Amino acid sequence: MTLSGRTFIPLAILAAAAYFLFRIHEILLPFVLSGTLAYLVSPLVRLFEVRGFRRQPVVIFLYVLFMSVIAISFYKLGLAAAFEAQDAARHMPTYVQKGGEVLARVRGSLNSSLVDYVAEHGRTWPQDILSRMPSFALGVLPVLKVVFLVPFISFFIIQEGPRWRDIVVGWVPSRYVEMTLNLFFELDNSLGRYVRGILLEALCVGCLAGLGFWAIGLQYSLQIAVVIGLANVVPYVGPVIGGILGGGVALFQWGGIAGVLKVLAVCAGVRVIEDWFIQPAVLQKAVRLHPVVVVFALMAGAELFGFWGLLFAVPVAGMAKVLLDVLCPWYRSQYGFDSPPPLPEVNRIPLV
Amino acid sequence: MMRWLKNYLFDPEFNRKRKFLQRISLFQGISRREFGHLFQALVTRSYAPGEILFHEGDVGRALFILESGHVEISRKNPSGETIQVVALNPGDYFGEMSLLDERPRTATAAAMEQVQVYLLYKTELEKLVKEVPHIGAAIMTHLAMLLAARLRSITESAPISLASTVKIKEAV
Repeated sequence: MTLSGRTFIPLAILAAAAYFLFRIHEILLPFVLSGTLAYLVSPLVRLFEVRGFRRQPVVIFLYVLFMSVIAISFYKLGLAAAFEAQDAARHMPTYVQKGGEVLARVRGSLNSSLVDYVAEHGRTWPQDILSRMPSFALGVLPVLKVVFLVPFISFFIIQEGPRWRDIVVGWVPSRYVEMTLNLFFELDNSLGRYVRGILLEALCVGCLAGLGFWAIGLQYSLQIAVVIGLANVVPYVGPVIGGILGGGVALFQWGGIAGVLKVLAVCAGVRVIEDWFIQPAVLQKAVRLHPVVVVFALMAGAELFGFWGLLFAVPVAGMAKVLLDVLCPWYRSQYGFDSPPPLPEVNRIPLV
Repeated sequence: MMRWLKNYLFDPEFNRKRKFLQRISLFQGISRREFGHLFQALVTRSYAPGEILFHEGDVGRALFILESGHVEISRKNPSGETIQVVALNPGDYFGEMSLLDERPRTATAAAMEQVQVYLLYKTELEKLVKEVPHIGAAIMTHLAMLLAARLRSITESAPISLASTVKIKEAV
């Protein structure tokens, strides 16, 4: 099989673009996050746009509104977190004592080397963590850069809106316009639903976990619920984090295995509700991936790009699936490998 | 002040596009307030003089609405010669057959000068049918009426040959 110039040149450009993106992947994060934010905000902008409003004033209005809500939420959450931290500091001696008792009981029953290791090194851990704080604080700086860059970039992405699509469609040779549009609409439909769905799901899971923990009387249920909600953005990770965090707090709070079991029951309940009711409702028409593909994508993402690779592994795998779903049938139908969809039967019915 | 605010908040392009699309028979059943939803489904693209919008035989899934310029529709006869079927003017629309049945285009469309078109893609039409059923139904009804009218005109122009074709196909 030989490649003609018309096939080779676009393929070479695509390969060069992919290589370029891979080389600069470390600076892509703010752009990817901005695109995600744009996906979230675009339905709201559309609500105004269909009524004849200009895009720019709508985006400015929504930005001011969002920034105000975020600032107030951070202030309120910061206050709540400070109170909780104060409370945790007050109860710390009790927790340490209870933890020691639990450790002694476990040591008595198991006599394991792991327990010995924890007992021996456990006292030095807080100091280790404190000594690492300056480097951790420096590590937060790139995150702050992202926090300031994302609203800035996403403002321009949202403001341009569908004009990006029209510009790209204008570049494409006329023969491929319809295929490109198909790709755009499929990606837009599947990814838009996925991004909005996954965040709505995270919110529901966080609320449910918070309610469950509050019902069993677990301390710091709000904070743990927030962490579970955020961790739920990565498939299968939310309930595991919830179980570990909640179980740890329960162990210190009640000093026995019964509390841990209650927390695990809440996590399992949330997981069941998520699987049976929330996911089918919010991710109904989003791109569907086989669990094995999801696990593979997560591992590949983590291997290639670390935490952010883990976070964006599933949407990227979804994009790859949509690309295949669109390009393969198009190629087959365009080159006559597939028969077109059947027409309704007309032969037996007279023209009336 | 109020005038400035109105100009700043509302898009003058919106009214221009609405006035243009309201004149097109395909969108007759759509009310003034619903046109915003229709704009969201349309993609604009311009073509240079002589550029082919689509080739006869290409599988298509979009309807084209001509906003400015002229488009030539041509097709090949059995001997392979290209015959001009019609020249389309602003406000005309074409490509509706492939929009409905996703089959190869029955003709070639070429820009006779610089043209600007709106594209209504199948996925977006389906989205309109689901999300704003009134608009989707209005467009689909009009397309069905158009096809029925074409079929009727064919039946009226060649009633005997068509009737015999039906009988032959029944026998087969």
